[in-house]
Amino acid sequence: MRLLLLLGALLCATAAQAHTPVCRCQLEAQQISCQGGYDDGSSADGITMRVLAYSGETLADGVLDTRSRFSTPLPGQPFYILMDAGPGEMFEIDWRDVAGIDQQHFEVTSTTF
Amino acid sequence: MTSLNIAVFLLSLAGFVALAAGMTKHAKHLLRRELPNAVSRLLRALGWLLLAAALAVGIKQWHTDVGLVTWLGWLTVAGLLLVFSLPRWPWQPITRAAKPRPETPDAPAPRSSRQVALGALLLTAPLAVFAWQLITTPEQPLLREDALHGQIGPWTFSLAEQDQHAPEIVALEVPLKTFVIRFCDACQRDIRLASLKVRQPHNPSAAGNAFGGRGTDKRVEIPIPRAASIQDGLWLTVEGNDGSVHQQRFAIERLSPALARFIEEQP
Repeated sequence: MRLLLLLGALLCATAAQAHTPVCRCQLEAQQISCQGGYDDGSSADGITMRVLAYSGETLADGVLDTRSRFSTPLPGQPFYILMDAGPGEMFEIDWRDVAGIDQQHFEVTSTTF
Repeated sequence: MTSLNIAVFLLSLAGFVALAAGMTKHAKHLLRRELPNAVSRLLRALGWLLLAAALAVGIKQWHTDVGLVTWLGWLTVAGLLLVFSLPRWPWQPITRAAKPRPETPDAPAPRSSRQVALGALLLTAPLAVFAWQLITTPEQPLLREDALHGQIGPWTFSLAEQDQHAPEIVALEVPLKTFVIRFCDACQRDIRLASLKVRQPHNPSAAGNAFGGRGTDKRVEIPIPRAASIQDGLWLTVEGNDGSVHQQRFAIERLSPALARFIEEQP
């Protein structure tokens, strides 16, 4: 029995090691909606989400809800969203990686002003 | 890598031939004459040296564990080749006509063809297993020729992609690619965290996913951003226990041509 428990613990340790956070975001009516999770398809509810400017300033933050979702208004400057699952376990979504945002969105904005 | 396997095999074979030639019985067989004692001793010493050289090549290339097993495998092949070559040598030792043995009830019965086949199977089975292992065992990433060897801050390292395939697509259609790193033995206690990501980190606390795992080889799975480009590069961030942070950029196509192709093919 001890041997079985040890084997189970070792298998679980390997599984835990291979747990990588993943996330996809898209723009819907000036609102960014993100779906988070782990690489094995499991939910990541409660994981911290931060929206940061390139300067490091926090523009918005929150957590993934029970459906592993997070939404935030589209910031007015270049930004990135950080899904922070712990030290050394993160997923970064740059504004260019958000589906539905034009790749020249912020370049156009900056030349307009 | 194949050339190194051939080198280990040839050194082992040469070692066995030198050892055989250094023995009175086999010298008469192989060379058709007896050698002076001094030459025999020299050949025996040369034989052992060649076997040791084969082991050294194996350990240098594959480290002690894999190198030792590879050496033993090639020793077996070389030894069997020599043993089975001796009866087919161009000249054979002159033997006195054997006297017919008187038939006794205790004399062992001659071996049947089934016993000979079984013996041959037992001899060739380990060889077949060794050959199979040699063909199917994936090469250790950090021992491949494409592994990158460098220095970041005061620490030397080796870095390579786990496999040479395109990233694996996981949940939410996110592509993940695995990399392996090994720091010098003395460096490991001075390093707090080593992380890797595509694109330059905006700040040290967002340096990407951290390498982890047991043993000296640490692995990390990194996501490939949806809008990544080849110019983004792969960024290694290493944080020391003294608080120092070091960063280095690598060209994606240098570390992983398969990842570079994958990124270029993205819409």
